[in-house]
Amino acid sequence: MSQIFAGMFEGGTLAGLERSIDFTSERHRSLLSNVANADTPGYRRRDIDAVEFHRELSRAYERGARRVDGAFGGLDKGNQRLAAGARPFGFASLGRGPLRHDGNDVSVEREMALLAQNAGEYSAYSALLRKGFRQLRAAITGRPEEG
Amino acid sequence: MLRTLDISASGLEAHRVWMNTIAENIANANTIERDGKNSPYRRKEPVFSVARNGNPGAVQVTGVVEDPSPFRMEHDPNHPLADAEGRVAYPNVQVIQEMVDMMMANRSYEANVTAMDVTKSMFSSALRILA
Amino acid sequence: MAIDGPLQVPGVGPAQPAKPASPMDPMRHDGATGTSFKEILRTSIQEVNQLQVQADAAIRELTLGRTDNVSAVVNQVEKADLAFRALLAVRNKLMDAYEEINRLRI
Repeated sequence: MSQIFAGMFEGGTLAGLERSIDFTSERHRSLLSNVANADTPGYRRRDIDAVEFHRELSRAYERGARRVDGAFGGLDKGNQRLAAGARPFGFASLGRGPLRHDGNDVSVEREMALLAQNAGEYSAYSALLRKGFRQLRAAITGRPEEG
Repeated sequence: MLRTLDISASGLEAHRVWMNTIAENIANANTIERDGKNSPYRRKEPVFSVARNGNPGAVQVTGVVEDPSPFRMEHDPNHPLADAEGRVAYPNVQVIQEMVDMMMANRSYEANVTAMDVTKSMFSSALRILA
Repeated sequence: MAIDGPLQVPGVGPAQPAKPASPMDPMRHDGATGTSFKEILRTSIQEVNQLQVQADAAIRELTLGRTDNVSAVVNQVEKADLAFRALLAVRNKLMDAYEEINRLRI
């Protein structure tokens, strides 16, 4: 693929926003599963590790600052790995969520709070991405009123 | 993103099945006769499990099973269906417990509706990037 | 939006050290007081770029979960965006003026 124009988006912050949107939408899926399975016996809540994602994103930003080509390539794979491994994070690993007598540890209230928080992050990232795209468009056309 | 609506839809469906089962249990809380014999209604319960294939993470109802707990026996020798010892078997349905279950099913159903709304608002905020 | 690092504007970017105005420099300032136009242009571009860099840093902090102050981030991004657009508008006005002068027949 030609790298002449792709570099415009792979530089750093826009790419970071894109990956963050990917991450929050994957996390959304996990949280929806938790809500849907709130009454499934033996179901353990699933979540994606935000700390791990933030660590990888931080590394990608550092690589991007050094202008290494495809700084976010690794993160892309990492993100897929994170998504594929939306592994069970029981109350033991996150230290919360009471285990009920039916072996289910979903707390609907907490899942709904996380769902709202995650959706808020998603909206913020997509609004910022939109802003970035519009600014690029203004720079390309040279019209300040663009976007 | 839109496919994740299926997950919430599966939650809605499962809890609707549960609601139907509860309604059936309450409606038949005093059903004691079948084919002229004292054969009471058995309480039913749906079995939920995580969907293995199809949409991973969704919930599915693998079946509706009957509650094996013993029937409630009442001593009523004058009852036409009473057995030799004058006992009549009633369904193993406890209406209070059904009401509690109904509240739980209702709460979970609404949680899935709200989750669906959240998904829709996320989807439209993603679409606004194009505007 | 500064993708990362300083905004590279050919000829005026911060990467290029200030050259003493040559006699042939059209932007040479001959007045005794005040700053040259070139200087004003350079500082304003640097200022806008600085705002962009700050806005980018704020977005990064947000995506890394180090802050949840969305309003502060949005504020910073909006300021940087407005500054950039203001600079763009000024540039367009200057280009218009330049073209107008260019069209004059002497």
